[in-house]
This record gives sequence, structure tokens and C-alpha cells, in this order.
Amino acid sequence: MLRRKRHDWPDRRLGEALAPLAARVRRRYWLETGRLVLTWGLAVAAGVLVLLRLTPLYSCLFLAGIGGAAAAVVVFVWRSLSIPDALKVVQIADELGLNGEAITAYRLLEKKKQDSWSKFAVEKGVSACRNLPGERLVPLFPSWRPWRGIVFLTGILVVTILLPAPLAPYWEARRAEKEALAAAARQAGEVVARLQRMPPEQKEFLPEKLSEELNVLPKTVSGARDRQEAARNLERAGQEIEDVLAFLEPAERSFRQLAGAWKNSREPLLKELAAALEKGDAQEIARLTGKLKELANSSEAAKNRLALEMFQAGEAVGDPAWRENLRKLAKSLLSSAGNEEAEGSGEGESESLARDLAGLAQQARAAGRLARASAAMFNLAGALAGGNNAAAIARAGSGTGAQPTANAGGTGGPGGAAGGSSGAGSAAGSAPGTGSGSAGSSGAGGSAGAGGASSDAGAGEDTGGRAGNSGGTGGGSGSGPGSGSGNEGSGGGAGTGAGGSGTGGQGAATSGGGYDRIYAPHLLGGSGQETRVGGQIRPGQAGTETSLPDSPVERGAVRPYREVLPLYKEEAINSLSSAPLPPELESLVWQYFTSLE
Amino acid sequence: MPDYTGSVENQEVQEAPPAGPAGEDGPPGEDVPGILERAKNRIKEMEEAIAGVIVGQEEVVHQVLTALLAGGHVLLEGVPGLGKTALVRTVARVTGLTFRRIQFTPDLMPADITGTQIFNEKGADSPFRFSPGPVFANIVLADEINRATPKTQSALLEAMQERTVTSGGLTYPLPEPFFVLATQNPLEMEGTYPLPEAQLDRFLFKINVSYPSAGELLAIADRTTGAAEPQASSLLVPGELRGWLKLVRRVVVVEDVVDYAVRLVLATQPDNPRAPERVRRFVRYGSSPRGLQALVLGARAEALREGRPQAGYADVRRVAPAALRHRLILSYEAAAEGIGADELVAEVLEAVPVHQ
Repeated sequence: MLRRKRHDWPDRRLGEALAPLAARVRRRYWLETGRLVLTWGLAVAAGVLVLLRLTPLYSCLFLAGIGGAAAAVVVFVWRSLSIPDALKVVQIADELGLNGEAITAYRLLEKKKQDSWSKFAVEKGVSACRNLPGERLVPLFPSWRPWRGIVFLTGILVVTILLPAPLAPYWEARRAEKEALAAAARQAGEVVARLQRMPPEQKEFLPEKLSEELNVLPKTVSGARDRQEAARNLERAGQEIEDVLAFLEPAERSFRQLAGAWKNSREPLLKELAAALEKGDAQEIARLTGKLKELANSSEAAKNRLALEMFQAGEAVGDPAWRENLRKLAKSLLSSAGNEEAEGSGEGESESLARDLAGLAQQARAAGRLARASAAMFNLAGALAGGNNAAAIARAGSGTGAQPTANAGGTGGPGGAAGGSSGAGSAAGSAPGTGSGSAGSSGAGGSAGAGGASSDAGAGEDTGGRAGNSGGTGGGSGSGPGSGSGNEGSGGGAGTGAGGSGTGGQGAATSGGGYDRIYAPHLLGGSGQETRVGGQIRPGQAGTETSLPDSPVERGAVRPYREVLPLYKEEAINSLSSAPLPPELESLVWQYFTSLE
Repeated sequence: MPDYTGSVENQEVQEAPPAGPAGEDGPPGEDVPGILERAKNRIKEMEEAIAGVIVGQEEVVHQVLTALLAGGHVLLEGVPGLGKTALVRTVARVTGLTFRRIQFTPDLMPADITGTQIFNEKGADSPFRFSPGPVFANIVLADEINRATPKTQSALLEAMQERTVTSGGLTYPLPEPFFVLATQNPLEMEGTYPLPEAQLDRFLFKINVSYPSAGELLAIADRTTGAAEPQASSLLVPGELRGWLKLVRRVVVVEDVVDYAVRLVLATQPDNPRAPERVRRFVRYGSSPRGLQALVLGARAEALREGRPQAGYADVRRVAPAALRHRLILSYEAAAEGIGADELVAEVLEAVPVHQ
């Protein structure tokens, strides 16, 4: 039982004798109760407030109030259960100088002792109680010292309320990081969902293992310890998509070259075919190839014209296999005049062409989707590593081409772990990446420079869905215009400079992270010398360098005939397109080049 | 002089116990205030009479009289020359009781105190007759008690506790009232035999006699070196002190006050968790239940002296040092650090609250 046994007055006389003292004692008790309620309430409120201000809770003032009120209520209830009873008043009376007379009277009256000694003792005790100057001996405020604690605690409370929370910036940063991770996870989820919604004929280009990894990517990103880890995960996923893309790239390039060539053709059927290829409509492609066959059969002139178009398309296509197919088709068209066998053969080739074109279109579309997904992953990684907020991350991942901004007021250290352009610097700079893309790709031109007096970093541009990249060191901001054309987007540059008050070291800001191409532009249409290094080289670390098995073509070397022939042929095709010749002469030109091959 | 010859049965005549225990009904119509007032005045007169002879030492006189009223024995400790013997003699004279002084020496034998059987050739029934020793008096001054051997000291044990003397197989009651007022010198340790704890415990109070002040020394010089030394005369009528002894036991002590005394006693015991830290450290053995008896009886006697029908907390606190100091057996660590029993008793009084 919380409530202890209460003692009442055993006799009216004793109660009356000690009534003034009892009233005084109770008044003082309630005053003390008020003091304790205030003291404990304020102490708990101040304690809770101080503790909660070290946590990310935002309603700490409210909780402190609740805690203080609860403590006050508990103290009040506890004190209410211990209100001084008659026995306590008697004890206080004895402490005030009655030397046991009051308690003796109380006990004897309680036991109803009737002997002469007890009676006399009671009489004497009651008389002493009646004469006790309780008001003089029991001051309501014996000392003001305990009340000073309330003033002190109030001061602490007010100061704690007014002062800013010491860890607020830290918790705000944590909250923003969590939101950023959540936004990145959401965006990554959407990108993955788009990939998973690909038609089966496109989805077959996505390896099973990669598909599974992508499925868990949002969870991995949202559960990452920090932005850097999440960025690394996104970067890794993007790079794996890039690897798949590298496999699809030749076909996709061929597709674009072919579509580009036919789009500019004078033959309307081929223009329609180019449109069907871009749409990836297999049935339309089959129908149009059938019509092409009919057209070829319609007249010799049409046959020659189509053969020329096929030949020209074959020359425009970089892929040797496709080039050979188109040449064969052109040859069969030219040689099919009046020859039924050749006609049958040409019919088989046109069906094969229709199938190949449909497959090429699917590969190209799959490549486009993967390129967009890859770019989105890199954008997200860059946005995360660049310290952007959730909204910026959402924009970065939505494929709008928004580029992450560089760290403003960065504290130095290595540059962005991945993606975007992030220079380590303390200057308030921003380095919006610039770039342009086509066909759903966004070129990411990263740049880094020095705030104030910066020199620019390079930029990359890509027309094929590849993210351009650039490396930069230094702090501050800068921008580099992206430019370029061709199949392979590339860019490079080094920003140098120093931030105004930057303390940061050098950041090897790379877009895309992971492995980045830092090779020179193409010289001759083939693959140039290509070297890949591990991105994000931090001070004191050495990157791994991998040489890819490709043709070591160097500027200024003697160019073999086989290499210059396609250029000449291309120039000839262009000339023929701009200044049409009679079919006989055109055929002569084609035969010349065919004979050379 | 009582007849100490005859059979055992004849010798074991005990006096009736004093009037009933505290709280029992007294005679109807008893004038308690009058009784208390008379007792208070008479005790005050007695105190003044003693003060006429003994200069200063008011507290010592006060405590000795309190012990007498409580019916207990007193051990007076002080250096020689502080008037211990004179005090005891004066008290005996004022109270009108029979007084014997025994000077304890190493060759003192128990029979020298209690008495012995001597051959009585004219004895009709028995050839031996008991010759009572000096212990057969109302007030016995055991001077320098720690100079006697333990065997002789223990001869007082039965007398102090049972108020009887056994010799030759016969038990002889001591006169009523019977008080032993012993003195001992704390300075000279060579050739002394410290009182055993059992015997110390039988003293109601142990009173420390301190040096007189300068003014008191002047008065002593004036009184004791003149032509005539002051002499106290017998003040009490026969049986008056015995009546007071009975009155003391009728003083009301409620359980709250007794409880306070109990908690004081418990706080002197080092095994008690509520004992002060220094008590736990420096005390080997705390007070026995006799300490509680001494506290309550002493408090009652204090109340009677002031004419009060009830004893209070202050009475217990007043007698606590004298009642408890000789009941604390201190450790060697206390001796090494110069910690005294008085210091520890004061600490106990400080630590134990009046109300629990």
C-alpha cells in the first residue's frame, strides 16, 4: 500500500490543544509540496529538454513539458498520500520542546489508561500542547534557500529553450541524407521497374543475374550506411548495365547508322523502313521489306536504285557483318535482272533482311532503354555523392537531364565518390554539368574548377546514350561546355584552381565512377586506343590499369589502304547523293569500289 | 545489625519487590502531583546539601544521584584527588544510609569484602558463624577497584547483581537499598587489573570525573584549608530513598521513548546496519540489554528529579553517555587512533533520530 496508516486524534482535548500547530504544520506541508512539485517538474523538464536536444526529436519542448508535468503530478500524488496526520503533529510538538509530553499523552489516551499517573501525565501533556506557540516555532518559510533551486532550474530551462540545439545541424544532415537515400532508392526503383517492363524480345538482352541484382538495388540503396555507399551501389549497377550495353552497342550503332542512312534516302519506302526501324515494329519492317522486293521487281531502274541504296547503306554501317549483308543484297539486286534463280535467292535474302532488321531494332531499343537506365543510375549516384537534397535527386533520377550540382562549401577531401562532377573545395561554387544527349541519353559533362579563378575542365557529350565524363581536380566550381560528336562520347579535362578558403584536397571528380574511359577521341572510325582506369582515385591510392585488346592506331601513322577506302567510299556516296548521276554511271562507281574490295 | 546466624532458609529472606511495574494502577485517589512535587523538592534539597560540601562537579553529583534514584551502581573514573571518595561519603551521609569503604589492593581477598565464616565455640546449632564483610552496607565505596585481583573484583559480582552474598553455602541478603560506588584511576596502569566486561556491565552508570575549574579550585582551597571543613548532615528520613526508588519505576515511559532507547542501543552494535560508520569501524562489541535498562531507568529517574510523571526523549539523551560509555568495547584501531567511547556515543546520539 502506498498510503500509510493514518492516525487520528485519540481524544478531542489533545486534538484541540494541537489544532493551531496542526494547521500550521499542514500549511507548511502544502507549501513544501508546492516547492517540491515545482522543483521536480522543472528539473525533469529541464533534464528531458537537455537530453532530447541531443536527439533528432523535433517535439522536444512538448515532451519536456509532458515529462515535467508528469513528474509534478507524481510528486503531488506522493505528497498527498503523506499529509501529516495526528501522530506526526504530536511528534513535531515534541520536537518543538515538549520532550515527549505530547507523545506520552497521545499514547496514554490511545490506550485509555486510567491510573492516576497516566491521568496526570495526560493532563500535563495536553496542557503543554495547549501552551505550545506553534506559529512562532513553525515558520511557513523556514529558509528561502531551497526556493532558490526553482529559480536556478527555471533559468536552466529558459536558457535551454532559447539556445539552439547543439546537434541540430548534425541531425538535419542525417535526416536530409535519409531522405536523399529514400529518394534515390525510389528513383532507382522506378528505373528498375522500367527495365523490367521491357518487352520480352528486349528483356532477353538483360542477363538474369543483373536483373536480380537490379531488383534488390532499391533496398540496397535505402539501407546504405551513407550517401557514398549508396552512390557506389548505384554506380556499380550503372556500370553493369553499361557492360551489357557495350555488348549491344555495335548493333545499336549499326541500327542508327542504317536508320540514318535510309532516313535521308530519296526512296520513300526506305524512309518508311527507317521509321519502322526506329519504332521497332517488326511487322511493319516485314511488310516494308516485302514491298521493297516488289519495288525491285517492278523495274530495272527501281532495282538499280534500290541496289545503290543498299550499297550506300552498307557503306554507312560500321558493322562489317551488316555491311557485308547489305552488299550482298545490293549485288543480288543488280544481278537478278532476268534471272529467276537469282530472284529466288534475292527473295530469301529479303526475308532474312527483314528478320535481321527486326532483331536489330529490338536490340537498339533495348540498348536505348539500358542506356537511359545506366544514365539514370549514374545521375543518381552523382547526385547522391554530390550531397544534393531529395528533390534534386528525384530530378536527377527522373531522366530530365538535371545534373547534380557540385558541393557547395564542401569540406575537402576526396572529390565525389561517383558521378556528376564534384570538386572538393570550400568555395561556394556550383558546377552544373553540361552536356547534351540524343535519343534519350543525357550527356554528363562534369567539370570542376576553381572558384573565382578557375580553369575549366573538359566535358563530354554523347549521342549514343553514353554518359560523357570528365575528370577534374581542385575545388570551387566551373563549367565546361560539352561538345563532340560521333559514336563514342568522350570528354576529358582537368580543372585546376583553388577555392577561396577551401581546405579540401583534390577530388578526382568523375562522372559515372567505377571505370571511366579517359582515352583519346577516335581518329579513323575504328576503335582507338582505349584504356580504362578505376575511377575515384584517392590520394595515396593507385588505380588499376587495364589495356583493352584493340587496334593500336596512332595519329600520324601511315594509313593503310583498307582504312582509307571506306572514307573514300563514303565521300563518293555523299557526292552521288548530292549530284545524281545516270544509273549506269552510278553503277560504274559502285562496281569500281566493289572490285577494289 | 541483623542476625547472620542460623539456617539457609532463615538467611534467604528476601524483601518484597518494589511496587508494581510502570503503568500499574496506584492507590485510588493518589495525589500524584503532590508526590512528585515533594520528591522533586527533597531531591533538590539533597543536591544542595551535597553541593555544600562538594565544590563544583554538578554534573557528577547529578548523575550519581540519578543512579541512586534508579537503584544502580556507579563507577567513578578520574584521576586521584578530584573528590570522588569525598563525594561518595557525602552522598552516604546526606542520604542517612550505612556506608562502608573498601580500599582495593592487590592482596585484598574476596572474603575481605563479603565476609567469612568464623568458628563459634558457643554456637548452639552451628559451630560456625558468618561474619559479614564491609559489603553489608547500603552504600559501599569500592575505592580504586581496579587495583584488586579479578578474583576479588568478581566477589562483587553477585552482590551487585543479586544483592546477596553467598558464604559457606549460605546466601545472605544485602541491606536494601544497596549501592556500589566504585572508583578507578585511569592513569596508573601498572599493578592494576582492568575490570572485566561482565562486571563493567553491572554498573548502571560510568561517570567521568573531570578537573575542577579555576573558580571551583578557589572554593575548594577556601573550604578545605580553613579551620573547619564543612560537613553534610543526614537529610533523608529512613525509607525515604526506598520510596523514591519505587516512584521511579512508576514514571510513565511510552513505547515511542523506549523505542528511541532501543534504537540508540542497537546503533552501538557494529553489526547493526543502522550503526554509524565509525561505530562499525571502532567498536568491537556494543551495548548489552543492560544498557537499555540503564537508559530507561535513568530516564525515569531524571523525570522524577524534575517532578514529571513521564520520561521523555531528552531524559534518555541526558543519561545516554553515562549509561553507554562503559558498555562499548572498542577495537584496537580505536585505541590507536585515540577514539574514545564518549565520542562514539555522541555520534550515535547524533545519528539516531528521535522519531523513526
